Amino acid sequence: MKILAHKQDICTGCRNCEEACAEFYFKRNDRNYSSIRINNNDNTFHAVKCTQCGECINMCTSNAIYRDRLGIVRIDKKKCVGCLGCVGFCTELSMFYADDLPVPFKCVACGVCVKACPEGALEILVSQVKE
Amino acid sequence: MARKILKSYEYKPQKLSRGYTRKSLYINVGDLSVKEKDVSQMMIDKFVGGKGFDLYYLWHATRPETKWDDPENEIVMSAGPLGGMTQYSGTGKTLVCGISPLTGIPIDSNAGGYFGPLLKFSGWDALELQGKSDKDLVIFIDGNKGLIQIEEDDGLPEDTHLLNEKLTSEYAENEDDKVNISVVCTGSAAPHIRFGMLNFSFYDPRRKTCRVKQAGRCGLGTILRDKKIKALVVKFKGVTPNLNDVADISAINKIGVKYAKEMHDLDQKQNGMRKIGTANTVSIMNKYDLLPTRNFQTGGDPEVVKISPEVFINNFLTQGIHDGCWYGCTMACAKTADHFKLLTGPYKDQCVTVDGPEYECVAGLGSNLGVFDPQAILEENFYCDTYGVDLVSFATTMAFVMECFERGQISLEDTGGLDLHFGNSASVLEILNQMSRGEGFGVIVGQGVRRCKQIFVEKFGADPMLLQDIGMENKGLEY
Repeated sequence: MKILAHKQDICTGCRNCEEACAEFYFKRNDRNYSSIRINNNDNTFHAVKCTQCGECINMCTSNAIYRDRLGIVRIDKKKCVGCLGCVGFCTELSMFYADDLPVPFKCVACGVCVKACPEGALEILVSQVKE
Repeated sequence: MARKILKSYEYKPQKLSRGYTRKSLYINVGDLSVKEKDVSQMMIDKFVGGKGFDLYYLWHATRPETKWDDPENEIVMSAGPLGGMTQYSGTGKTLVCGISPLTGIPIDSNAGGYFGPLLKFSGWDALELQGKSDKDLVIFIDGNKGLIQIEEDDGLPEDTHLLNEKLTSEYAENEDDKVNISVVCTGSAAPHIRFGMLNFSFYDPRRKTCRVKQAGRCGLGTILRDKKIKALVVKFKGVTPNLNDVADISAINKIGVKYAKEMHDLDQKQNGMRKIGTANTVSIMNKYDLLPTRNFQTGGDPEVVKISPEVFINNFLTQGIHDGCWYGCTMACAKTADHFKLLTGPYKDQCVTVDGPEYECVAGLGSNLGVFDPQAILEENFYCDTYGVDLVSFATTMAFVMECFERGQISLEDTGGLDLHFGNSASVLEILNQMSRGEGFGVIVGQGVRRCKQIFVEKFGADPMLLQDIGMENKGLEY
């Protein structure tokens, strides 16, 4: 299973990761469309991103969220009705939405942000444990 | 599917604006006429939608002297302007009105499930059903194609759980399409009793079965079968977050997410709706001496511990998987007992999904009948649902009948040999089976408390004063 990991101690809060994610998936230069969000807490930078825990899978009211064969939690856009219930239920607060998008979005551990990080503060961890 | 099509009507589905299509649908099953009506600004301003629209149409369709089984009586349904919003819990409701077989006056009842929203998204703010057919009918509304078909029943099953599965499979193009279909029907008991109810189906893709919510009160299912409507089916594919065309989707989304988060954080500490639904109140009501017990003679019983919420959670109800009855309903108070094995009746030994139990079920069919057996309560729950029996009216009438039996007002001879002491769930289930078959003492019980009083006095020599004291009805409706 792949998970995006964040090294808080070396992150400088440049937010290149947010820009890269929003640009790659939505062609927007707007962090509100990014699946990773860097929050500044007294100059300590905390990354909000999906841990692939999968709690949203069973709560989804349209049975649209599933775990793929690599362990990544994904949203089936054909089934999702955009109710946003999963946004409110995400314990990591890492299920995101935008008013002009029909369905919510989340980190799928693709690695685009890892390549964009100048400090090497992001990495994709691969675990053999698959739920 | 090879049912004979008696009437086919094409229409142009209207898009919604601010929650309204501004069109309503009228179907007369007597002469098979179909009409589109305009919803006026006056109706929107004064009657809003839902029950308001239902009563508006019922008022104009009937006269003061109209009886429940007159052809002009209507079943009117409407979801209302907020119906079908996916961002809030509880917006899958359908409000239904008609003149009741129990009270003889206008009544309303409402149900969850997908029907109301899918009807509105198919282009209709309300639906009127009037007239009486001489043969059993299925009415099908396809909201994507803009097509209404009135079809002749070709031997479809009577009972809800079979009928819903069959119709859903027939109208769906494939497994994924089943979620786009909702069926309104009743069951085999409805033609024989006065409190037949309406079941509203939705397809649960996780459980791969149809589930039901009920517009249970006041005998709407009895009216449906009196009109010889076997089922009403709507199909609509394409539910999205803003089909209602709200004025400010950003505000709706923001508050909806806040609501969902509060449900996530607080429900388990407060009401436990996601675990047990409305049945969470059984223990509370018992503690405060408010739980209807043995026909309301007391407000609780030490044996209630056997039917407490924890018993159902730990032994019967599937936990941790969404079981709500409309998209986006994070409250999800509709519960399911999956793979429930029936021990009695015509479906004995079959494993079924039982929707429930609601509070009214555990209190009404449990403590108020002196039945403190969760298996029996769920079994009663299933048979009420599939036979189309309003379990509130049934439970209260049954409790009344059992007290009459215990107080010697009716005898074994009067009941056809059924021992109706409190707690005898086997007899309660047999009464339900008799309602389904339209025979025996069950048909008398199916007339409701008010008429049972009269029958018991006139036929069985019961004491009218005592019956007046212990029969819990108002204007003919049980409570």
